[in-house]
Amino acid sequence: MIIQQLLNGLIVGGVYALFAIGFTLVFGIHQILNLAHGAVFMTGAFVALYSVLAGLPLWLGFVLGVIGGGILSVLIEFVAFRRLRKQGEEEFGAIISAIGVNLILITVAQKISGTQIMRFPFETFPVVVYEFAGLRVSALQLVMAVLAALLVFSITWYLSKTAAGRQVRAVAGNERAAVLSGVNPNFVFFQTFFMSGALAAAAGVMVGLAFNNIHFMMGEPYLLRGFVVIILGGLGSISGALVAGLLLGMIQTLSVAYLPSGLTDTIIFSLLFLILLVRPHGLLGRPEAGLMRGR
Amino acid sequence: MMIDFFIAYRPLIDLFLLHTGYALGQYLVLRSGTFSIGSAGLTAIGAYTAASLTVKLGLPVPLSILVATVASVLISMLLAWPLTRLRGVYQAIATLAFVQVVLSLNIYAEGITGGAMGLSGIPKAVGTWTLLISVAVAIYLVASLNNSRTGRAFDAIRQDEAVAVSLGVAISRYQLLAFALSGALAGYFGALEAFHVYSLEPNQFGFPFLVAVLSYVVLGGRHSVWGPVVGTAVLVALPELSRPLADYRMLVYGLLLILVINFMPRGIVDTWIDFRKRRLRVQAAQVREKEAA
Amino acid sequence: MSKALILDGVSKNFGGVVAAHEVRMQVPAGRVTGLIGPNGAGKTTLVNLITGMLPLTSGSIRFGEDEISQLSAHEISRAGFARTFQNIRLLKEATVLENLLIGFHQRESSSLLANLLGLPASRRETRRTTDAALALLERFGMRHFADFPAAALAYGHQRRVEMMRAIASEPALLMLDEPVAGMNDVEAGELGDIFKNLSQQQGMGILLIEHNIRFVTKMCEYIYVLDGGRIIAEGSPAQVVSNPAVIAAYLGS
Repeated sequence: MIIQQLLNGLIVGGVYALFAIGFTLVFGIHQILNLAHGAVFMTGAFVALYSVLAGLPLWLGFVLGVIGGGILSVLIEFVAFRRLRKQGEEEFGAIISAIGVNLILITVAQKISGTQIMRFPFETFPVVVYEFAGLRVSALQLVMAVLAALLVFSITWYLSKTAAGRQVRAVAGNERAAVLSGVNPNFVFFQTFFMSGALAAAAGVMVGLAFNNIHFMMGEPYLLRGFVVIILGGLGSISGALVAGLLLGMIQTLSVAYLPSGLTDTIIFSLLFLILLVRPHGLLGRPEAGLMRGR
Repeated sequence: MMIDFFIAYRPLIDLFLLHTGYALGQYLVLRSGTFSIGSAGLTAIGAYTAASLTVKLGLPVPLSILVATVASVLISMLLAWPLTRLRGVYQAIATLAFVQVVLSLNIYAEGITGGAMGLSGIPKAVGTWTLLISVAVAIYLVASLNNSRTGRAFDAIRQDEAVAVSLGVAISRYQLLAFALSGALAGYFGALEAFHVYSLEPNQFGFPFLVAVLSYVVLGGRHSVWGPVVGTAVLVALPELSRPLADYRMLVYGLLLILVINFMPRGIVDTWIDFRKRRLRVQAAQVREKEAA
Repeated sequence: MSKALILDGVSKNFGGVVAAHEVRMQVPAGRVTGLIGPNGAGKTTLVNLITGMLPLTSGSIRFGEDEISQLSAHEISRAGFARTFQNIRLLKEATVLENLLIGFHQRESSSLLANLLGLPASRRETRRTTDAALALLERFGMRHFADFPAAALAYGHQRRVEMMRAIASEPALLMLDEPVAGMNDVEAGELGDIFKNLSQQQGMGILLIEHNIRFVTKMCEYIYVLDGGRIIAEGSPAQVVSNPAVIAAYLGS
């Protein structure tokens, strides 16, 4: 029984990881907490949904959703963060700007969807369940797991093996030095925000299919969970976001299954608070993060 | 005729006064360099404590408000102890986590708080005059603080901690103070709200509330004490002024936030004050030039 | 106010990097003591160790009779230290006057309650401090800059404001971290006169960390030379300047 829950948790965790990797990627490179990330997640789901409703095949809807998410994310960078980069107080200003974008996107989604909860047509994804070794896994869960793994692998490969990816890592380490050695920062920002948005949108489509509960506020709980994942994993660390995402997915599922309902949120956010108290750099982040220098 | 105006707009005025109280609490904590966005949690604690004490234990309203405020201060100080070791986004996220913990515990502890259904049957003991006097006193206290040694220490800490330390400012102690004072404001006005609205429900103190309070301060300004007052006035009046836009209120809000933080980052009041000061300086320089000639 | 700052066997390791090794130094009251060395010698690290921004790995730092190395940074400041910073650190959102007002923080004593309630004691204190700050500006010939945003001032003026802010608390020991960097000889001379005056008239001990050797030899009565975290030479300006080890250190860098 527990193994079943752990398995479910792993799938949920995969979605958390996808969401969080994009979130932490942007923070790692730009020191920006993109609070509009949840809206990108939601947009991915909506794009896929409307594509399917318009008669397109699901796989195309997924692709459109992912690309749409990437483009939206890039637009967000341009509208909300670009100007602030040149001014001083980026951290605070970026958060406010992101909140503003989030409000706009949510309202637009609300208007378009008529404040209704929307669903994919029945059998958009075939309902097939496999059984082995006493465990049940649905085809959708399998596909989600495979897709998530593929996406994470692609991003990691891109960042470590390609020249463009190396530039991104250079900017993450030291932006000024990178610029001096010829890296075009705008191109790097374009890439990081696109990737970040694409991952979030992918997660959104998956969640949309899995729970069939698509509405304009669906991104918010994931945003809040996202905070837990990126702190637990270590701000800026992609592998941290991956590990922490999977971990949180399992914690979440076990808690919902075995503990009184309503306690799950308390546990998760208390965990977040505790981590910040005891080890703010999380599992895989750098130790100097978060604390004050001097005594 | 003025009386008619006040009667018609009374709820709006009450809302403005209440939220100015919240804005002042948020303003205080930001001014001292602490990146805390957690006053929503303390407001919830203040509101629910006050309401519960009167509704469930029959305590007289003023006593409930007092106890609730003290409880908020104590909890803020408890929070301050770990939070003052964090900086920047870490501090912000920690306070956000606090808000969520309070919210989820509130919903979970149904026996005490009424859970998702909330608490109702709260006597409406707080009227416009109480709110008005409370806000006036709060503005006075904060303004006095700004013009004092403590206020100057807050400013120094916010702008450059290393400098503050080199001048003998005990940073942790002042940040603890900032938390305690803003907790007092948040809890007190939360208690006032409890006795003003008949009923409470947990979600009114969640993320949207947090964003609203933050917006008042961002729009109005984070330096002058009139910043939060003006910011609250504008954002509270907005839905009223733009009836056709009422449906799109959140969108206008969001647009305002983006525009302000990008083009007028110091907020309405502080930008205006800066502008006035610069004009005065230019005039003074011109006078000096004339005298020298 | 005639306490001397005494470093004894002060060492600091960062992981494997030795930033300071067995440093022994004295900064007596009423004199200007110099600390020079090539870039990366560890001068600023030493200042950070003295001011408590970094903990010692070993050694002792005494001020008069008291061991201060265990104190927290703000406690050390309160023991009578003030400093200026290598990259000018004025409060950028504040006016010149506001920058000076915070310099008087240690000499103010009103209670939180008085501050909160706006009691006469608190208001009087603010007025007194403001008057003192304006008087200081007057002394340095910058009275009319009081309401200027500190960030709008010319570089030389900013340096002066930073110095004024540091001496506002009437410290027993003033540490100046490259105070005349980027200045021409005239400006540097003016600033130098100011703090030479401070040490002679007011008995302030001054530790001058500088790169500009000509300036240091003109200002200081005694100089320490730091290289790679170690004191490689010390003595009067004449002695230090002709010391072959010192010449080698500077030529080599």
